[in-house]
Amino acid sequence: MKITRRNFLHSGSMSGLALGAMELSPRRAIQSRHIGGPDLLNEVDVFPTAVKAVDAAIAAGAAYADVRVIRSVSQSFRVRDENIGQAEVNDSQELGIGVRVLINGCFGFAASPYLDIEEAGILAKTAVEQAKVNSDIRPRSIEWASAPVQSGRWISIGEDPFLVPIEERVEFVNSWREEAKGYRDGLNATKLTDSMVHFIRTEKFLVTSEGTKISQVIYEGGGSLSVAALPRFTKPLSGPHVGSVGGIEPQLGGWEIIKKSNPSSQIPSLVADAAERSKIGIGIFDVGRYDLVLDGNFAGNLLSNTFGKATQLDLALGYEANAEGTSYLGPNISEVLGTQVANSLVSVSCDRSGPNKLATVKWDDEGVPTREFNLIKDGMLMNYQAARDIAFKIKEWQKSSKVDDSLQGCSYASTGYNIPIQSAPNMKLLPGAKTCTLADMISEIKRGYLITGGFVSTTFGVQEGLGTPSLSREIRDGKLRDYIPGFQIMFNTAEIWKNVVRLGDVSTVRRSQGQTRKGEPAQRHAHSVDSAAISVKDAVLIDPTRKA
Amino acid sequence: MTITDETYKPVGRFISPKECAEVYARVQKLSKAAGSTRVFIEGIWNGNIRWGRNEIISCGDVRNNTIKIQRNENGAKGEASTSTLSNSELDWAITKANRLLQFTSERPETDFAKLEPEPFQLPNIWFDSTFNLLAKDRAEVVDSLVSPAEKEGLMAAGYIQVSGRGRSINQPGVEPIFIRFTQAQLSVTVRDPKGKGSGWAGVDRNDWNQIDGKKLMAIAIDKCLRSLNPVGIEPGRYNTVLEPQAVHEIGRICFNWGTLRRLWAEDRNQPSPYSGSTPRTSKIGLRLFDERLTVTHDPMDPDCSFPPISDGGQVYNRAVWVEKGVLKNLEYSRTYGIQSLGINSSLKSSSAYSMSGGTMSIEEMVERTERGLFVTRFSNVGLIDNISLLQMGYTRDGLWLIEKGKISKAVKNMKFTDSPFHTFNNIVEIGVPQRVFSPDAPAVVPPIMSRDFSFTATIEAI
Repeated sequence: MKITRRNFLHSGSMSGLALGAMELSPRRAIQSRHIGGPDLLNEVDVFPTAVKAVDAAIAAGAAYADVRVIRSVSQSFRVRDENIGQAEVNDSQELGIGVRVLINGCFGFAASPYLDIEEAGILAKTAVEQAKVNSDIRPRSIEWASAPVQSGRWISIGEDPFLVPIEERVEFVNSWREEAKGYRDGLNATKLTDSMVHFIRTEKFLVTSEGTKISQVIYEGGGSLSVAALPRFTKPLSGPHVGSVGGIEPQLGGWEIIKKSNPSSQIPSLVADAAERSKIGIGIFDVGRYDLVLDGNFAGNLLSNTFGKATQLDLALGYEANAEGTSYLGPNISEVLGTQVANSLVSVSCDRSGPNKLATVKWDDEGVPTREFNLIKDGMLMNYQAARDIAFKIKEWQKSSKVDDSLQGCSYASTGYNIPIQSAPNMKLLPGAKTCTLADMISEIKRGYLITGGFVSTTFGVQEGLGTPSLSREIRDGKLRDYIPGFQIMFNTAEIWKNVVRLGDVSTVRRSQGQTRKGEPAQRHAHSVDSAAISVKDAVLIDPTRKA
Repeated sequence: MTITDETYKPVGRFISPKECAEVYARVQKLSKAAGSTRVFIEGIWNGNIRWGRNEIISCGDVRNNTIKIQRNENGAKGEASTSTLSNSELDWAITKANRLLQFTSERPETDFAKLEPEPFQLPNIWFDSTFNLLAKDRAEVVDSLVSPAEKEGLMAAGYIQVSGRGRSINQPGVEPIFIRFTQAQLSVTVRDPKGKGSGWAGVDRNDWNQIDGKKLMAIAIDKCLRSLNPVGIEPGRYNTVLEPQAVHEIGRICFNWGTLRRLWAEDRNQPSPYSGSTPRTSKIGLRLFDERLTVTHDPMDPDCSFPPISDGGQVYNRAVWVEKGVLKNLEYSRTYGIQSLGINSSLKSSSAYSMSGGTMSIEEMVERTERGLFVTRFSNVGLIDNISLLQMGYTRDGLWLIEKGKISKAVKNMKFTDSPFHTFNNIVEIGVPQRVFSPDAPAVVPPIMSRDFSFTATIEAI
């Protein structure tokens, strides 16, 4: 067969040909005009419109008004090994101006993509009309929590990826594949399957009728690189059974996080890891109760999907009942606050300030400066996560319990078209002070499993859930044995946290990412979780494929 | 640059045909490179209101556009989109699309400049009743819905969204396409203040007037009151009456575009129509379901109509996926249609579907059940196995025990593990199909009584 450009591109199975790289550079010389992403918005272009909207809303009768202008630009590349020569490029950008007003406890909200003075007046009028009809028909009694007036500009650390020429970006991702080729041929049935990177740049402007006037630029990026050995069994459960995923955890940062991470240097260890794993035996499991060592990654997922969700005040009180659900830590929150919700080894703190963490900002989307706060201390529930409209519902308890009652900065609007809602911050399951490595934890288990990575889902009230390990290894008499695929951990939330018997030290802390999904219309927001490893007793292992 | 920034934003709540034509004309003037340019325009207005704990907690009135510019040279494509109609943004998108074009492969068979758009029929999917449901009307509806719950001492949460859209596709040498349509959705959850019981109801339609909010609210209140203080029962296999919403939540996986494209098309080792090598092998012609099931996809079906063209230009026409239990068709692309079937068309699913049923009422179905369970809806349904479509999920907003033809008591929610291939082959009774809540793609689904539905654990969530 004559290899033309076209038939080459259509024969995905023709791996190993060095022609692949060719596809990723431009087909021919084009004008060198920079076209990465639109330039950053200027405050002088944005603030006058936002101020006009706030003024118009107050003039029309709003008790409070805020205006968000949010623009995000994103790009992702994917280079797949199986389809050499196909780089997938996705680009999008979105700008929205959203005006929110408050009258008698009722909101009004209007948004559009038109950033101009005339539109500011239209949006303000529309929002005020809504708030008025809502409060005429069903007035609502809330105490709008006060927040200090803020001004300034904050830019998350990052080299703007959209200023880096597109060729350089694509070439960089492609270089990982080039690097992996040598390993691919040397190892039986081991290959690099996928590599990708993504970048998002979000600009957020906020003006409130209280006088706050702030702007933020947030860079986020990440990437992955996966090396896999061919599946040796076909247990029908998704996830890589034999394989290794390396790359760059999604995090705040720009192009430099991609460059610094140098994922291609991870290839030798990923390949070696995958190869080693394909040598160790693969066992089967019996359903039943076992002791588990949950690594920092899995424990972080458990934390994010249980307490991260259940302590959201709107879920606990029932405001979210028609969407994401409710919380077992409600609705009678006064009976839950200050009580033991986990073993006393467990302490959880929250923040939106850690460097490179996904939910890190200087101010939340209601202009509240972000701060650290304790969610759980020695197993006791110390707080709920709350936004400005319903934070007053826990104020009394906070005061009587001498808990900091200032706002936490956990409000989030995913676009200019969304009204801000409470959203989970970065979380941290604090490591123990005493030395306790993962090896120490494994050595204490007589009969159980080590769970490394995975994902956790919970029911609509967070009372219980299922954990699906990425990797699980049997532990017998303190020693690691075969890999055991295919089971899930079914847990009752209150029980699994009370059954924590051991807490890893700082060496066991791993970072993972969590996501808040809630609201109508639905919004999503990512956060980072740093968690120490934990050991839990009497966890229930089930076979997900088994029917009754 | 001689072109002036004529239109920056639409005059109405969403873009008109005239404004689309004007944008397209400007894009053509701005595109100077070789090849051709296709412009997809979607303008949307949406109004919404949300309530929780009997309080109105948020609302919105949102306008937006997506103007997607697709540049094409011999099938290599570059795409970029923007949301306002200004020359500078359009120019940015064109330049960006030209730039991205350089990184994609040439696929001459997909060169849209050489393909006439596929024909389609236009259903009536525009309703003034939806477009005219303004902020005050929405708030009044919420008040009328919440009041009965308050009287019962219950907590209502819910959401109403109405939207109107214009969708336009413009390409060289072809009459521009413009369609407009409305969508409306209402869903309500009613809970007792202590969180001991929960009821739900919801539906979506193109026409707001076809949504009976009061009736849905009455259902949710009734379910909430009847679900109070549930007792735990043993997991196991039960003859189960599934209300249409529950049938939809386990059935939709079978009839959405992803499944129709990938899963049924192949056994694990057989190539699908999409690899281009094997004609439609697969399970076509096999009886996969109970003979009483026929599943169609038809934009012209007045009870289940939807836009006959997607925002990316994909045309949808009538398809019969399953006839009397036998798999009749699977999805295929236009390229596959031309190359392998010799027809100049595609067969694609919008994920909307309409499932046939019988004449029995749910009440009769319960009367005919000696012992079993009654399910309103499922939550968190997830696939465990892509091939057998084995799924797990939880019952939500009420689960009841049926004894001697009567609903006898509320039971605690349960986790299920089962495959729709099992459920839809073990149909004992089938009822009158009705529209369910499925805002992403409409669905008409019957209630069924299925033999030996598998419940694998009791859960505490209410």
